[in-house]
Amino acid sequence: MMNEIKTNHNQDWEKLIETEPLVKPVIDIIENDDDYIVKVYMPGVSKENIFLKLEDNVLTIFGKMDLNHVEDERFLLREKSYGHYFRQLTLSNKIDNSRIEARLENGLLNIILPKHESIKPKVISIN
Amino acid sequence: MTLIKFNPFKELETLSEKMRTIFDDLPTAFNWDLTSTFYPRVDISEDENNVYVTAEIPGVDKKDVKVTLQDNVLTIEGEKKAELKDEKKNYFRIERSYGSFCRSFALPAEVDPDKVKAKYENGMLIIEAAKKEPTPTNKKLIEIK
Repeated sequence: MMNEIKTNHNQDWEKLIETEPLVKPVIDIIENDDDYIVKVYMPGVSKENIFLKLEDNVLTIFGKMDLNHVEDERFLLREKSYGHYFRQLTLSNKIDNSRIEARLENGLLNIILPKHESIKPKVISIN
Repeated sequence: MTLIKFNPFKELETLSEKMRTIFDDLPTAFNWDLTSTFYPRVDISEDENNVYVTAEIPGVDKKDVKVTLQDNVLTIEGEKKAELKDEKKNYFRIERSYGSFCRSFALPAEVDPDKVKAKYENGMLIIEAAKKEPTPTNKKLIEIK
């Protein structure tokens, strides 16, 4: 079972996970009636450099950073961690994998994981 | 009846295992922010002609960020809005904090207030300030006698 949310023919990013420094982005997870929303904070990454992959219920989030310029800078203060963003989340079966959506706004990636119809709260009317 | 070998340290082992998972699960933010207020991480670097300041403020709108320069002190302030109050959402996990933030830095060299450029993209604020006088690199070759 393999369901690539964003088809990217260039699979190089998976190699970066093994060789380059990684940073674990912080996330918020919210639940509402229809879906779960995962907010991933990835400042400095453009849309083109974010890769999402869903495989065997594991959602892989990867954000490719430009690390080349860092080497030759003269730092006076350095608080940020340097590396590509990488985090994996295991999704439950309650999620409808076919309708996952993601959008990026101001360095914040919102991943919307819709719940399966069967587990949504239902109001049953009495006739 | 099965016999179980007495191991007085078993409890301790599970405890230390638990502790380890707790620490592994902590967000990367742990080492820089223990308070509930939002505190953007900042890098400052320089080269001969410019001072560069970059701040991570993901999820903040451009219009909610203010950058000021006074007496060579650069101030970044803004507000990270907690959007959730009115929406009835259940939080499973919150690793980020919300609220207003303000950080000030004395710049390492005198900069020209008219030549400060700031841009905001993908949650990263990048400020480039031109130095009034370029500082030559302090590298000096020391003669070995």
